[in-house]
Parts: sequence; structure tokens; C-alpha cells
Amino acid sequence: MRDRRLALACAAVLALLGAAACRDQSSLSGCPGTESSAAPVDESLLAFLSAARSLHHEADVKVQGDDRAGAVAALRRLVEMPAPHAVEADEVLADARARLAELELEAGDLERADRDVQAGLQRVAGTTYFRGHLLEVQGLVAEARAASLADAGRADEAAKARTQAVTLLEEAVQVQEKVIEHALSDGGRE
Amino acid sequence: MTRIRLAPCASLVFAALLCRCGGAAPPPATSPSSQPSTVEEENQLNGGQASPAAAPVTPAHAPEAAPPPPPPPSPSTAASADQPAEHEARRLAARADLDRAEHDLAAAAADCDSACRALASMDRATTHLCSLADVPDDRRRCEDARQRLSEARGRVRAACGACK
Repeated sequence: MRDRRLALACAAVLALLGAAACRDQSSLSGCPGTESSAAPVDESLLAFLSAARSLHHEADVKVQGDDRAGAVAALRRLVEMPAPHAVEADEVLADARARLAELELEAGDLERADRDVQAGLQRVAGTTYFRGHLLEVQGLVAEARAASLADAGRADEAAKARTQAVTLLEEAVQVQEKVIEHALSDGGRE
Repeated sequence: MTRIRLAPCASLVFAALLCRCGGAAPPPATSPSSQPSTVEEENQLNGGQASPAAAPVTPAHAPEAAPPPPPPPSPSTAASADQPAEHEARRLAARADLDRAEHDLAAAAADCDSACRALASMDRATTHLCSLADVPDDRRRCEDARQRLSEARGRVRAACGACK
């Protein structure tokens, strides 16, 4: 945490230094916002990400007000929005599906929760946090189904659902372990 | 690992300072003519009144009555035409270092966010997995998951400190 604070403080100092340096120069070449070679901004992606942030915020407010149905409705609007073709948009949608599934699981709607997890998994592949999180939620859904089946006296099906839950949770652990390994090994850079 | 993650920060500060120096305006010329060379000139600068202390001129506090001889031409004077280009090249190189270090710093912060998020998910999954482990094979899987979680937690703590 200390290193993180240091990094943030360092970034703030650098921002000030950079701004001061640019103000001092008679020529603005090299200063942020003055380079003509800046990467083009995908406005549709930015608009989508902004709308997604707003809807997540709305869901937060609803959850805080104990309005779970309202939170689900906000997230449902998010996953039904037309999304641009971009990895970032896919990850936002996968994340929203995982959150939806968690809320539906809390409400006891296992079928809907499972459908949202499946829809989320179609958006992300490979070793990503989002896939690991969806597998984790899928494991929780299977765990809840196992409990429900056991309560109904369907022992064989309950055992099967329990085995499925253990397998999914184990897979989630393995995916997130690789995500951590990758994030900290600088493997994604250079 | 911690040292590696702080390295971009240090180089960023260095590059920023270098860039800032490179971009600064040149210092004002301090030719001999810009300094009072005589007692009269010094008096004029002091408001035209001769101070009593100015009368006895001492070498330690006042310049010589005669203007000092011009400094001998230095070898660098001949190459002064090349200096702006060299200066600009150094400034651009410093700017590139700054950009690279800034990118590395942002990437390091993002990597820690990502690692902490994954660690939290791994923790939740392990807790649920172990709560379901009631047969020997599942208990072995639970122990394996706990071991992985413990190692991952150590790696994240070493690289990023404590997660939020």
C-alpha cells in the first residue's frame, strides 16, 4: 500500500512538473494535448464506457437503498445496450453479467443467474480476471443448486451439482492465479 | 519486485527534471557590461547617491576602475551554432524517457489493481471450495487451492503492498 501511495504521489508530482515544464517553454511541442500524432479516440467506445459507469453507479445506489430489483434493472439496461466491437466493451459486459448473476443468486433465481454467467463467458476467453470471476460466480450458482437439490431430497443430483461447483471454483482459482502471475511478471508489457 | 516497481517512478522523476531543465529559457546574459564596472555606475544604480562606504574602494567589494578584459574565446564558442540542435535532441530524448517512464508507472499501478482484484476472487473461490470439501479428494483440492492462494497473496504483497 505504501508503494502504491508513493506511486500516486510520484505521478502527481510528475504531472505538476510536466505542466510547469510545458508552461515554461515558448514552443509547446512535446506537451500533452499538442501532439498531432495523438492516438485517435474511439468516441463510441468512450460513450459506451461512460454509460456503463453511470449504470453501475445507479446499481450501487439501488443496492445501498436495498432496492435489488432496481439494481438488476440498471444492469439489465447496461447489458442490453448496443456495444461497440472492442475488448474493453466485452470486458465491461462480462463484468456486468457477473454482477447481475450475483444479484440474481442472492434473490434465489438460479436459472437467470446461470444464463447471465453463460452470456458473460461468451464475451471473454483465456486468462482474464473477468473469466475467472464468472467461473467463481458459476461455482456459487452450482453450490446453491446443490443445496437446493439436497433440500428437495434429490441426493444424487445434489452430489453432481456439488462436484460441478468444486470443479468450477477450482478452475476460478487457477485462472486468477495465472492473472496475478501475468500481472506481476511484466509479461503483458514491452 | 518492489524495487522493480519503484524504478519507473525514479526514472520518471529524473526524466521530468531533465526535460524541465531542457525546456527552460536560457539564463539572462551576464556580460561584464551589465554589471557596474565603476564606482560612478554603482552609485547610479544605487539611486545616484554616493554612499560613504563606496569611497574607499576595496578590491573585495568593488570592481576595478577599468573594465575587465574580455574573457578569452573558449573552444565551445566555435561550436555554439551546433548547441541548439544538440540541446533540442537532448530535450527530445528526455521527453521520450519521461513518456516511457510515465507509461511504466501507470502500467505498474494497473497491474497491482488487477492482481488485487484477482486475489480477492481467488480468496472467495477458495473459501467456497473448502466449504464444500467433505470427501478426501475434495479436501485435497481445497488444500491445493489454499496453498496457491497463500503463495499468490505473498507475491501480491511483495509487489504491491496490501490490497484495498
